[in-house]
Amino acid sequence: MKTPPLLLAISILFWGWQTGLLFFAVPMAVGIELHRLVKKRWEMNRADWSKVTDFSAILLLSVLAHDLLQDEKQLVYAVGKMLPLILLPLIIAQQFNLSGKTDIAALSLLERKKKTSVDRYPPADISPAYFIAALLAAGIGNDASEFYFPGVFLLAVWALFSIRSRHFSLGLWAALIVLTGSTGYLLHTGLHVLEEMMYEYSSRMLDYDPNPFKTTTAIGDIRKQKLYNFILFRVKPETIPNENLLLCEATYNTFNSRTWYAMNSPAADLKPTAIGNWTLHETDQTPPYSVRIRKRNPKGRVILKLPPGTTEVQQLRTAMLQTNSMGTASFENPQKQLLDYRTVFTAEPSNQSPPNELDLRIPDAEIAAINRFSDQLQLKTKSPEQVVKILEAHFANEFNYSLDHKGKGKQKTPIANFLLERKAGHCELFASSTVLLLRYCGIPARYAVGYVAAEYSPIEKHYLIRQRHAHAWTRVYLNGRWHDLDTTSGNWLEQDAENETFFRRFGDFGSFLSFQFQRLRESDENILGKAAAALIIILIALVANRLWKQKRKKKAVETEKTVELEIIRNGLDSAFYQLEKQIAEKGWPRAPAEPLFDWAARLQQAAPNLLNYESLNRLINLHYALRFSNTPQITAEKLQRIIDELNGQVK
Amino acid sequence: MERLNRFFYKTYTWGYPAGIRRRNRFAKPGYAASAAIIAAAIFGMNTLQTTVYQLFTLLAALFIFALFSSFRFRARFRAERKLPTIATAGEKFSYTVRIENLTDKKQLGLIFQEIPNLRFPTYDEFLLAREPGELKRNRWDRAVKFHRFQWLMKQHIRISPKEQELPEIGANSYVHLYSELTPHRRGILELNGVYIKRPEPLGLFKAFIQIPLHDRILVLPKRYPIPSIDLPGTRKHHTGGVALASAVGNTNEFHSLREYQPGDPMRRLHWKSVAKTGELIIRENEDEYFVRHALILDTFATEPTTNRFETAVSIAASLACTIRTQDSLLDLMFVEDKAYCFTAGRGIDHTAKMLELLACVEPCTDKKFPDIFPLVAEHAALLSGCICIFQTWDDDRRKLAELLSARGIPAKILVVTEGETIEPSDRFSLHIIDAASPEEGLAKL
Repeated sequence: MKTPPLLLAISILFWGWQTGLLFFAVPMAVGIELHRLVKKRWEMNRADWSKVTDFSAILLLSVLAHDLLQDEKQLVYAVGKMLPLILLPLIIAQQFNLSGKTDIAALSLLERKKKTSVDRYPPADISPAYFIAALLAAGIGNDASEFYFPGVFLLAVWALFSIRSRHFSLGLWAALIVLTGSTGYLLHTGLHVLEEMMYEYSSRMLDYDPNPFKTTTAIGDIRKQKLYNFILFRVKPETIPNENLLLCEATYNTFNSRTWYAMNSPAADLKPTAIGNWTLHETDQTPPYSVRIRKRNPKGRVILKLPPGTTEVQQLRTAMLQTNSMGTASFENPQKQLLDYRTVFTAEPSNQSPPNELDLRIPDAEIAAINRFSDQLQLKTKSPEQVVKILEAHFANEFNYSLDHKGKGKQKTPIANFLLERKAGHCELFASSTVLLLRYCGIPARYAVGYVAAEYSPIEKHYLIRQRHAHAWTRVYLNGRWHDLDTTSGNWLEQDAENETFFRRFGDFGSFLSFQFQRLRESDENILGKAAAALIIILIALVANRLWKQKRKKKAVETEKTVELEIIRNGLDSAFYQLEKQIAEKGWPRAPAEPLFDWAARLQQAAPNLLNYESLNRLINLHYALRFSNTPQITAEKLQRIIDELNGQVK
Repeated sequence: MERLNRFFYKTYTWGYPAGIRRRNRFAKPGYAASAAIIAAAIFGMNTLQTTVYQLFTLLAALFIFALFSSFRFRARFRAERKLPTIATAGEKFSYTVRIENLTDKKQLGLIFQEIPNLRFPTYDEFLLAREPGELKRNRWDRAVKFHRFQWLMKQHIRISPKEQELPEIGANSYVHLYSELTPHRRGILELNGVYIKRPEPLGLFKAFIQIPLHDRILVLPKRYPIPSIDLPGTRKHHTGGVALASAVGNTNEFHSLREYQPGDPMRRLHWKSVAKTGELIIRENEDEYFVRHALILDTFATEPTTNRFETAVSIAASLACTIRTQDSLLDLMFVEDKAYCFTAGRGIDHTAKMLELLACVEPCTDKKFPDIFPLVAEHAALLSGCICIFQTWDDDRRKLAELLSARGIPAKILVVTEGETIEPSDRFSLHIIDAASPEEGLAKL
């Protein structure tokens, strides 16, 4: 199974184009096709193949070492991307080998040592495998390119053309290829849609709050991020400081690759001050603001959504509440009870522990990019207040909000790509970058996740918090206090709202109904219980009414049936039976189940003079009419008259 | 362990036909496409990280359409083989097959393949047989016995049929296909039919039909080149040897004349004396003395199929072909279900018959070696010399050698081994022949 000429070279160029490694790909493609120009061939033995395999192994180790040095987190993908380069010595050796095949046993150290005979692992042509490796590597290494699918399709068509069956016409083959390509396209777009549906479904169904000690961001994903409109919880404003109130779920202090951790922040049990009341943070003055937060069916471990500087949580139905030094409060909710609590807060994140060395730490992989960006803005020379202002202004003016990650980018890390190349991203990138930049300037900073209360529903008189309102921002330590700093560029809320559809209203209505239902069910007045009792009484009445009606209907049907039977019986006392009896007595009985006309015909043949057969036939017709017609009275009279006539005739 | 072995045996006997079905269905590019799908599924699992899932969906679509288009194949064919009557193990033989297209449509791009008779080894055979070099395999391979089963199947099926491209066959026309097969092992090679396969349009899978066509061919044992050997022994007097007489040797030696007695063959009339005397005079010839050798094949084995036994049979066949039987007799003695002695030479029968016998000889696992003693003793008086092909060298074999020696019959003793060392004997000269490379040992004879 040889690949067609030039297919491998073009595949390699495609790989180079897709992965941005065209610089390597061009000489590789030339090397692969060189055997067409150079006619010299060598007869390679096991030892030669072992050396070539070793060379490939060295290339593999070099790629691994390079990736490790670059602090590459996903080694499998990193190595997969370089597969064509790793396998290059083998494919070139095969091209120049006299037999045009590769000694497979030499690829395994074990078999090589055993000196396995050629019979057990016959030499094979690895060019199809190399072709597949090139397509795979192009897919692993590309930047979510829209040219990947068409490119792979065209290359596959090229490869398939050479192996097509001669039994069938070219037209049929082409039709199948078009069908395959279209199905492949539909499948992959369908897979994408299915995946989003699954994600939405799992988000709805699982609806788990984040882990208070660890959160994995979407930083580094290569595709457009999807946001959903379903409602997660509701916030009833009592007194609030501003419109876009931040509701924090958790705060983290350590960043690694794409995950934030809350290090050195163990959870501790809190004791209630009164039933349902929990003081999170002591303060001298009475906090001026308060909100009520309501969430339907929270599952598993619930993290409280807390406005900045929450001093107290009130009316929270739980026996135990745990908090950590980052101001995160959580509890177990195995009963899935409605979450309904009131918070009083100061609007400044005062419930945070004082900064420590972790709040200044920057991962090694990010330092170069942070340094470069900081130098561009000359942040090092500025005071902390100035740094914050510069960053706020710079992100607002020079950066754009975007959910489309547009591939991996040329820089080593997603943060570096965001800061130096793309200058566009979503809130996690803005927040994480701001934290790292502030830390670089010696200002302690933390990463906070939660929601923004931005959509007020006048009908429900609540702020509706949807999945797309999830947000990440920075907590910065300035002048001995923690402050919230949201650097996410521009009108991200409006942009996120763009994908709202008409059907969202139906979802909202459903959510409202189920929320109200749960409120009623769990309310202290037991309104739902009373409503259920009333409903049961109504139902019983309805059922009783229905049963009574059914009984009446059944009676009517039975009466109807009796009438019907009487009509049938009318014909059974027909006068014809007397005549039949008389004829039978004369020695001409009717055989059981013998039709009357057959009987009459038999009689006529056997005893032609017995009676007037014309009349008898008329009589039979009348008898049938009497038995089965709707006007039995008339026919009965006619019948009797003819019988009387006949009676005189019977001999 | 017994249960586990039974499980392995059942799995393999179930899996072997499944493997054939798979090979019939998959074309080579189909395997490549399957491997690519698996790789693409692994690398494309996270659709947020790579775009390999697009390759996966394309390949999946390709796979599905190719598979579906490989299900229908309604052409009708008739096949007929012209086979040789015998073949030799390890040697290629050629034959022709006439394939007739019974449809009104031209058929091209088809593939032909033989269907051998699928005979599985018995469970006992699977348990007791030993694949050559099995001891060198790792523990896992030895425990699961997969390679042993594969080897046994190869021995039973006797051939590894290969796919062959069929030339274009016109509508209602036929072609003669020249084909070749190499039997792995002696015995009766049975062919059950032929496959006609048709790759589907995309070339990943194949549709196939089976044409039943039963044929048998006798495969003679593999034979090795043997130098001309100097067989021991002298001519012996054979009473009734005249019955074996031909026109060669001492059979025409005149002894005396006597009167005809009823029962004398007419060809022995001495016509000159009849003319002179007018009486029927019979010519009496000298009693016959000629060379008669025995080839004793040790068929006693503890295992049903071994390379050692096959080598012993091959050596016997090689010797039977090499020893000139025009002016001597050769008795082949062995025990299978009973003790056999088959004589060839001096026109009695041909060596070819002896090879046919050796083609079908099976190891004897239910009898002991001493069962051959009576047979040897019965023929000992007539034997000039003897060649013994033993599978081991133990007390029983030594006793036989001593029996021959006591009767004054010189013997050449060949011991076939599978790498084990044999203690040299003081009294007898043993020729050790390694089953892995018997040519080397035989060259030293």
